[in-house]
Amino acid sequence: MSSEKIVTSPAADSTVAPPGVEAIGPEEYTVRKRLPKQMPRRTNDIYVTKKTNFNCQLKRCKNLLDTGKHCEIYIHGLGNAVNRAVNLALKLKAESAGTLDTAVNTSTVELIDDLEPNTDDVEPGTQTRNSSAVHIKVFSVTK
Amino acid sequence: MDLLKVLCCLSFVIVGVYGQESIQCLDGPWHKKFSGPEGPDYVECLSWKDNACCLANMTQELLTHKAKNLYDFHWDRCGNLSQACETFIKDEECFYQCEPGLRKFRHDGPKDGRITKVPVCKSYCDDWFNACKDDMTCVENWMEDFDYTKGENHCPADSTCKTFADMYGNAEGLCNKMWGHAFTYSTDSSNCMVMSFDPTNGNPNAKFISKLVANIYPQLRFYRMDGLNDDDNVSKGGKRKREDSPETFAPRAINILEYAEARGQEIEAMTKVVMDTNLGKRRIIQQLPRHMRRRAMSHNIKRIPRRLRNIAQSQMGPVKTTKRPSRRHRRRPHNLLQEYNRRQRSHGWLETHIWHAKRFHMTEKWGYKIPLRPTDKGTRAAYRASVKHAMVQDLSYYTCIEVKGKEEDILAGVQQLSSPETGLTFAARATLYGQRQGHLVLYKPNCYPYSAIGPVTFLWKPTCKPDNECNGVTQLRQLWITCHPAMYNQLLLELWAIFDISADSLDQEEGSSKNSDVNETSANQMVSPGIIKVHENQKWTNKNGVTVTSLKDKFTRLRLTGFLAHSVVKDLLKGASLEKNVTNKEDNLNKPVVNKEPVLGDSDINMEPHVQSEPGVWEKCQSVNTAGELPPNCVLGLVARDPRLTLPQRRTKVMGDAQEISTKSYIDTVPVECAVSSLWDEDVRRQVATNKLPDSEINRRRAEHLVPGSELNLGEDEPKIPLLLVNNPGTRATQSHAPSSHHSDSMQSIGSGWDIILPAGWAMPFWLATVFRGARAVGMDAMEATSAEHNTLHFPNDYPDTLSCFTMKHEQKQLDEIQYGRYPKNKRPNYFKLGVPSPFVPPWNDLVSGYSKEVIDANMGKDNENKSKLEFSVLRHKKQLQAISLEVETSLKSGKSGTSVLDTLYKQNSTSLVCVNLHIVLRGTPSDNSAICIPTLADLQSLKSDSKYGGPLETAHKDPRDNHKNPLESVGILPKVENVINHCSRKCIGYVNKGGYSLSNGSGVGMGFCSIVGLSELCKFLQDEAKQTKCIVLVRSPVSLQYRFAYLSIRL
Repeated sequence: MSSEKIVTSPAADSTVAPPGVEAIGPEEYTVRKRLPKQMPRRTNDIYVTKKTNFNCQLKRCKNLLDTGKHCEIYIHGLGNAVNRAVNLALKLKAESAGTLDTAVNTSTVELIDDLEPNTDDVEPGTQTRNSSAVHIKVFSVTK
Repeated sequence: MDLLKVLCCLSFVIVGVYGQESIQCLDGPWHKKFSGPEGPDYVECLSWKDNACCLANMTQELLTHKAKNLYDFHWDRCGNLSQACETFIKDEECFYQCEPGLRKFRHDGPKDGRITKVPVCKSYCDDWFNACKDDMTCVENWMEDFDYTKGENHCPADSTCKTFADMYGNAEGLCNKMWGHAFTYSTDSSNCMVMSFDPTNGNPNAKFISKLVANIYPQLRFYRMDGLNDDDNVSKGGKRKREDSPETFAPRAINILEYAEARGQEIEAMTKVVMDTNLGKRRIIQQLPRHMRRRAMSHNIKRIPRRLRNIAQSQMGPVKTTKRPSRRHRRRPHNLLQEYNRRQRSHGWLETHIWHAKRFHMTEKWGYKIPLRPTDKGTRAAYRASVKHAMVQDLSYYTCIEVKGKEEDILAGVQQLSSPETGLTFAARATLYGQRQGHLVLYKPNCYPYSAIGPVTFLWKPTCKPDNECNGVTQLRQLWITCHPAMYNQLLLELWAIFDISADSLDQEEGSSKNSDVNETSANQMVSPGIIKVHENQKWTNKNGVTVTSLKDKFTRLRLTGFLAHSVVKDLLKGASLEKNVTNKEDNLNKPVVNKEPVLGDSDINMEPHVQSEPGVWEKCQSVNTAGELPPNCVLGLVARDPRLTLPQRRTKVMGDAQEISTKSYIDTVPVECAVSSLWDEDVRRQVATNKLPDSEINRRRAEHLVPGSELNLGEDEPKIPLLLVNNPGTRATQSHAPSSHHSDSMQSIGSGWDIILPAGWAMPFWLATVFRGARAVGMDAMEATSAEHNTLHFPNDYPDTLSCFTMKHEQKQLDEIQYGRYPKNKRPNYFKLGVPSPFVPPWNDLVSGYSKEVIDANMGKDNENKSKLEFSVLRHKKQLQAISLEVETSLKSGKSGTSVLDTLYKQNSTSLVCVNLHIVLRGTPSDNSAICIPTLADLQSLKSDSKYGGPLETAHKDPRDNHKNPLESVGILPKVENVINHCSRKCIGYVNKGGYSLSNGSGVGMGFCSIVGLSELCKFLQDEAKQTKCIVLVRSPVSLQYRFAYLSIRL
């Protein structure tokens, strides 16, 4: 992530169904996503969503850094939100006039989908899939 | 006897007339009130000494100073009068003062003792004239002609003294003129009066008077003789006699018997009033004369004269003490309990009632006192709690019904209540073995899709799966159906019907259960003082051995909702374990060794080693932070410690583990064994309720503790409470064919949490434990509000096809109408002008019948009979809903037109309503009962061209009351509309059931129902004419002419 270029998100909206679901078929099951595992919720952890306004997230990050309470923040993005998390970090860096830098970690998060039966004689089940996550540390260089 | 008395009385009255009876006198200054005999100081006017109206001192004055001091009147203004004449004048004065009969000639005017037209005998007048004819007088009328300007009487200046003979001419002139109109010269010698007589022969005037009175008042003659109340005696205008002479109607005779009888009745009534102290409502104090009455006499017996106290006491009756007993007296446990029992006679209390009543607005509903909303903060606080932390609710008023029997018997019955089309039923393998809770909407048997009863949750008692090692033993299964109290009775009736429980078996069982239940009721009272549970353990068995038991108030259900609900539960149940057996005693109860048939124990034995071999699920759950990460609807059976022992010292806020990143793997499923709980056993529940140590005992032991504040160890006494934890998954995104375009599903698992099901009697310790860990207590209002936020349906409000909803809405409508009627006309919306026929409740029937009619007209009466049904249903057919949703969302996007799913659907059933979600496009908030309408092409173009276009306006309708020809004919407050669909300029397809501002969306949202026919028309219009890619409708509030744009999506 050393590139200064802001990554755009082509076709990031489309949800890719896991291959397992296609195989089972929609008649038997309804697939419902379970909440991903909770990650740390310190005050300087920011979880990026696709729904929240980008400028709001940017403002929130700037506020955290500007108030001086934290000299580093962690921006987390999961799945579709990876692009946005990266965008956010880079935008912060670009607007900081060289005072901020980033360090990137990636990980894989295990997600669970519940397979809810549509008919009485089917057992419910779960399926596991993996999703990429990014954890970007944005820190102040000067301090 | 009475007659004798009356006759005596009568004779007495008659004698009184002719004897010296006391008679009322004139009103003059020297007159007595009543005539009577005089004593030795009576010195003048001796004729009347036996019965005189004059006072003795008057006679003395008259003797010494003549009339000088009496009236400042001098007789001798033209020189001294002759002796004879003066005697006559003195007699005249005596006559006026002393004659008792003169009141009959009282002057009609001011009551100053004047008399008028007293007939004086001719002979007496003649004598008088002869005696005075040579004496002098200066005025003709001695009453009026004298000059009184100096106080006394003087001769007027222009007058000259003349002899009586010159002045009056003759005796007639003298009598008629000398004293004004007082006397008349009477030639009738038998009907006249004289002014002096010999007292030894009695008063000759009395005869004349009695005769006179008898003639004038034949009916009242005797009563009138005493002179009382005879104001009418003298006729008007100073005339002595009436126009119609008294003789004309005087009776010749009276019937003495009739007369006496009438008088007798009167006398008797009078005696009764006088003698009878208990007459009517008159109390003794009311009969006291005024001067003896005292303030507050009726309250304080000591203010009554002592001689009357006994009578008064008997009349006052038992003394009612109105004073409120002292607080100390009222707060004594026994009295407090009595008072509490009295107050929950009509509406039962939850176990947490007293806690709530201090902090919440309470409402009486469905036989319970239910907390409505807290007095401190509003719904926003509840929303925050549900999203960021945890909120807790006491849902103990939800009622559980147990069905016990063979699995196939139970299923054969309850399956009639549901339809597999709506989703999973009682028989679903997902829930059948007890590892999950199921949700279902019930219908009356064989009525689907009509006549919904309402939504229930159900739980099977855990058992091993048949493909494991059950050895084919047919077990008795238990099914708990939990329902809202509004539908409890209806559901119970249906269960009786489907299990064929007859009326006689009802009575029998009820009677027997009542007897057996006395102990239990008392046990409950012991456990939670003040909270009585009067409901019997009602049990009904049918011939197949299926038992239906009402477990009303047998459980406590606490619902924790929110992001940190799981953390709160974790902290609360720290010492909880998954151990199966509460005590050894229960162990033996549940595990009869001889036959391996019974229910609970059998599965326990098989499962226990399995549970212990790997770390328990509850231990695994410790690493989880929210309930949304756990398998949805999973059930965990736990045995908890007494939460009073682990209660935080002060109120804290459990925040979860903010730092820890758990690396442990997911809990993808919860094994059936974990759901096993001894809560299913009635005996255990009863024992747990009685085992509870009272608060006072816990506090006592704590006080005895050596190290203050350290955890209390009860040792063997510590109760172990079996409980069930049921997971609520909250909102969950489907990985559906097409993600919804306008509202993303990033707000996942909102409303997730746990239901804690406890045995009755344990609500308060657990309730306080949750509240002390920072869970926000909320009431029914917040439940409704958050259900709208979480996009879940709330019973009974959101189930319009149920009886419970209809009843509730109807009651609300009546209240709203009354409230509306109270506002003045210019302060309330005019629904005629707004064109809203039903502003208080959505007119589902009118909507559905309107569209059905359209369908019938289109089909030209193909199958009129079927479509004439006015009943409506809500479409809950899962696959059909999915198909409609697909059509509304995707085929609009693709823009292809063709055979519509909706078309085929509504032809099957045009009376369906489809549940839809609405999200406002730009401005506005859909309110309850808003109309959902199809936009016109122009509207959509305006929206497209102007990014801030608020929406079209409805033209105000005409109010028929404005120029009403016949004002007497009442139009009512609401317009009567034949066709609600086309009443306004935009075609109405449905109504918003619940709308408002959504805090989670940051915009107005609504949940409503649309007619399936209307929906199809909307889709056709948007697809073919408007070429829209999104499903846009117009929403109009019942109090506004403004339409607002909203996105419509089908609620699956």
